[in-house]
Amino acid sequence: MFETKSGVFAIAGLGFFVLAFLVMGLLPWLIYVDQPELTVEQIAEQGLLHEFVELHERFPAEFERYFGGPPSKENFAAALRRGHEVYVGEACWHCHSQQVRPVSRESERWGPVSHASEYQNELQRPVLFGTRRVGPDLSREGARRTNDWHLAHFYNPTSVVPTTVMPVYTWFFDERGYPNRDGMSIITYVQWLGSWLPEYPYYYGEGPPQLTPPTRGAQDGVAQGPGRDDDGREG
Amino acid sequence: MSVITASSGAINVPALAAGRALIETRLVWWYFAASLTYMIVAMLAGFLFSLQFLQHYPLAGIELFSPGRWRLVHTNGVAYGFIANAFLGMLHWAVPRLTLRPVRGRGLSYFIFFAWQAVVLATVVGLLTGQAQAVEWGETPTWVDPVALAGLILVAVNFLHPILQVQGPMYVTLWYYVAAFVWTVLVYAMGSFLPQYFVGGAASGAIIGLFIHDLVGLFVTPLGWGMMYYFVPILLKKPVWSHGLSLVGFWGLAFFYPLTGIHHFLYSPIPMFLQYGAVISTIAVELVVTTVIINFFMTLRGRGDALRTNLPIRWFYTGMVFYFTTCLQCAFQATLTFQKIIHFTDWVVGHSHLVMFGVFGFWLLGMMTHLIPRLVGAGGWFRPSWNAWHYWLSTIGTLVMFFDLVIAGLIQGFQWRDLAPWEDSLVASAPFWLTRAVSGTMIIVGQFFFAANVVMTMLRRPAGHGASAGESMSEAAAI
Amino acid sequence: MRWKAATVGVVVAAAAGAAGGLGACSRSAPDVDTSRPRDEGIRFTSVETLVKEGETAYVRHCVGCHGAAGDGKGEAATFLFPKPRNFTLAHFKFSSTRSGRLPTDADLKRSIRNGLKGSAMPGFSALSERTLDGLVAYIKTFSPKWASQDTAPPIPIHEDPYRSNPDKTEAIRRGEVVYHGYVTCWSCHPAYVSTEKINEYLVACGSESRSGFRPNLDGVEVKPNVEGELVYPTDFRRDFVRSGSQIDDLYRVISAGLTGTAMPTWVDAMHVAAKEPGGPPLVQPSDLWAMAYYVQDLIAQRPPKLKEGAYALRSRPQWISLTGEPAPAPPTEKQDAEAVEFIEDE
Repeated sequence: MFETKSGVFAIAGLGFFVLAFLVMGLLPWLIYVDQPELTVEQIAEQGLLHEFVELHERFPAEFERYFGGPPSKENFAAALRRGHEVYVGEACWHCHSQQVRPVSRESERWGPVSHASEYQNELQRPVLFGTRRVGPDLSREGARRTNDWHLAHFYNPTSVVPTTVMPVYTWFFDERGYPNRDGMSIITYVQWLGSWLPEYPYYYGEGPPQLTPPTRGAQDGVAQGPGRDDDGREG
Repeated sequence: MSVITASSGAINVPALAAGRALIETRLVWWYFAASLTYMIVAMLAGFLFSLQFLQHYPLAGIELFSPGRWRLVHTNGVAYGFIANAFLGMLHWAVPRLTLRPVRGRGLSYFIFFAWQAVVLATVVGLLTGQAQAVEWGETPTWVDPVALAGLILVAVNFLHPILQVQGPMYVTLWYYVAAFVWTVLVYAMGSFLPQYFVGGAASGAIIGLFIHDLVGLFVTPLGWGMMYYFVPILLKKPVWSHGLSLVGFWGLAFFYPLTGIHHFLYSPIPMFLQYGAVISTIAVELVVTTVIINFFMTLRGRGDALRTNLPIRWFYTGMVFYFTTCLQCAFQATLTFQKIIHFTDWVVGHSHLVMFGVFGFWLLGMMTHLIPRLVGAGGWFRPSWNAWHYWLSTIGTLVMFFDLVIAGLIQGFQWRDLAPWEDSLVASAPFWLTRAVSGTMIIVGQFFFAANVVMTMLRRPAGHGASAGESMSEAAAI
Repeated sequence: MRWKAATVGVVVAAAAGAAGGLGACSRSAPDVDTSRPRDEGIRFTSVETLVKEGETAYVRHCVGCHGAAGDGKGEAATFLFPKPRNFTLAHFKFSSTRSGRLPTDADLKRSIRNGLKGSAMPGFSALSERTLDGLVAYIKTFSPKWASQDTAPPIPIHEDPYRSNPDKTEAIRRGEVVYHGYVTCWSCHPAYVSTEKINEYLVACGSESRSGFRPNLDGVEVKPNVEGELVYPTDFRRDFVRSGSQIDDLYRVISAGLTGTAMPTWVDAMHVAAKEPGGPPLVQPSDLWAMAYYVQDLIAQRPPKLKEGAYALRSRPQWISLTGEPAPAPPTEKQDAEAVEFIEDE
């Protein structure tokens, strides 16, 4: 069995792989399968980002040319979708994570610890946990900085953060320095990150005191599993 | 113990009797040439990307030279251009020798060669035009995925055909290969299609984790170890030390390796008990690896001089030392304790460079060092000293890069935990990134020595020695 | 032999490297940040040293927008609106001193640490106290005002009569009256009640009722600041307030005013005696707190997201001059004249 074709083919090749997939792939799949997964349209239905509308305030003619009209649910969805494509295609996710871990005091730096329900939407397919943090985590970036800041930063990151190693993305701009459709879309996408949190847009309590205590969304409540408390203070 | 070397076994196999060549030597050579080309392209892409980290990117502002996109070309070029091509060439060399039967079809083999080059080129073009898929190591555009999968199935059919005709127990190498063909197809299908079309959210993270690690553990690793089990006994002219350890190594790897993937996403929203499981199986893999390493070093015992006299053996065993290092490192870094600090840092980048180049790259380059003069019909290398340069520049470059990035990762991780300003971690990393670029340059220069040597060896080979299929028989007999 | 020597060399180098790397990190305890100088060192630091350190930090964090010369014309400035602060003119909007006076060090440090939300100025909360001191010292080198003007006293902080009561309804109601009736914030900021209500509040605060109001009372009145840049006053239910929306921040801004803009200092003007002698004053300093609570309540109404069609479509185009083309004449005022009615969310 251990040295035969059938043993190697069926047990090692097929059997062990399928076993591993059942345990490590199918199981989490089944655990989260009843979590509703939002489409971009459903996200847009929840309302437009201030920052998306603000792009129209600053560049009304260009905005209407690229999106076919003033801000609406439809062109907000289109911008989010295109922004996600750009984020993936430019490999932003290789230098920026979208995951705040419960350790290493990450919640002090970035904001609330990431939660399974946050990833249940079309724009996390495939999920963008990230693999390396050359730049900061982006999952709580929405409304943290203004569109202006992002414009200057995409056009030439060192002009805003002199020490940064982020590449320039001049092709997000037309020749005058106004953002083109991709530029507006990627800014919309980045400004959207974290906008689902009750804390948004004040991640550190720098905002007004909550008149009602923040409640997590209805789709929340996925078990976080043991050991997810912030133990970053041990070293 | 069933050690089969190419010189043993009967020659009166039906296909040979019908006049078909056992081995397409020319195809092996083509694969190696393609592999080396992609290797140099991918390494230059990595070097280009490393310049971005020095804030001196020479092609800034050109969309097609976006550093992020070239970073994808770097990893995918290495995986699908360099490593896959080299392994395919190696398979065309080894499988017919081990089974004493030719592969499924000559036309099919050539078709696969061109189809695979088309897949790799399409991937590069797709990545450079911004069509990546958000699966690490599987960024091949979604429209390339089905084609690539079809190609992998054809590869499996082509090579399983002769293997499945072998009667009785198979040699170790073939265990690894049979399993690898099954695994590669399944892994690629899983990683390229499930997270994109069927599973979303954190669960897709679990599957991506499986894919990332299975690509290393179930595609590259079994082909690599199969290659070691084939070439090391041949070059040392002695059998593998322990058949029992070979069995432990293969079956342990087959059982534990597919379970490890989620260790890429520790402390993520993936259920915690699965993260624990991934950590435990990762540590188990290290124990299994130790048995394999022991087996090979005991095989070397008494022939240690081969490390000095035989360059391919030196490549192989250097790779094995690196393999043990990286697996030992993995057993620690995949624990929750280490992950607190080193996740998302350059530590992991150092680790993956040591694995992909320091281990599998070294094995493949050693294998090519052994085979290429035979393939092109030259008596030997044009300049053996260039091969030595190739080895030493690669080894020192890899070691420097590894330690450089591992230390950089620790510094980054501790700075982040101490809530230092983000810019401080960039400033602190700058010297390490410079060192990384320098060590990368060393590696690339080493590869240029090798590439130049290959070209010169081919140009200076004796007249009339074309690398053609007609020679295959004498080649087969020569080893 | 050569091979052996090389191997030994590699191993030694590797061990040395690993030891060095680990040694550098092994001391760090969670709350002691080894990457930054200890704060107590500042007692022995001369101003020159601080300025030098501040320059290093300025080059690392600030120079892109504020420029090497501190004139607010950094490389990124062309994209930004509002424009980065020009340190050579030293008009610092957010301060605890009266409008027109230089801010205190604490004010500057607050702006650096927390950032100015809604502008491109991010918060540098990770910077150490000492780095902030250095930055403040360095920023002061850009303008001679810092040497020629005396240190201004901070505005008085009146007692907050509402603080102890968790129910702020009373404060908010009083704030609405003062906002519209006495301080007439709606001259620049939007009015949040009807004109009839405004007249009622005006009378309640001892003024005359009015017959005419500016046309877009729901929008904002755009005015240039002292440097000639257009300033869009905050619409509290739509825009972020820059200098913090905690109650103390709002009190400070309302009381002290914003240097260089049309927002005056109110802390000294909050006295309107009762019409008949002996009655309670119509306006008193504690009303500043009421206004702060009112504004904070408006800020809390800011919807996290805008419902389609339920918000004013504003136009605030700003010139980006990458090509060096001169900007066209500044857009006329009454930007929001065509704004549609703001419909409250929900």
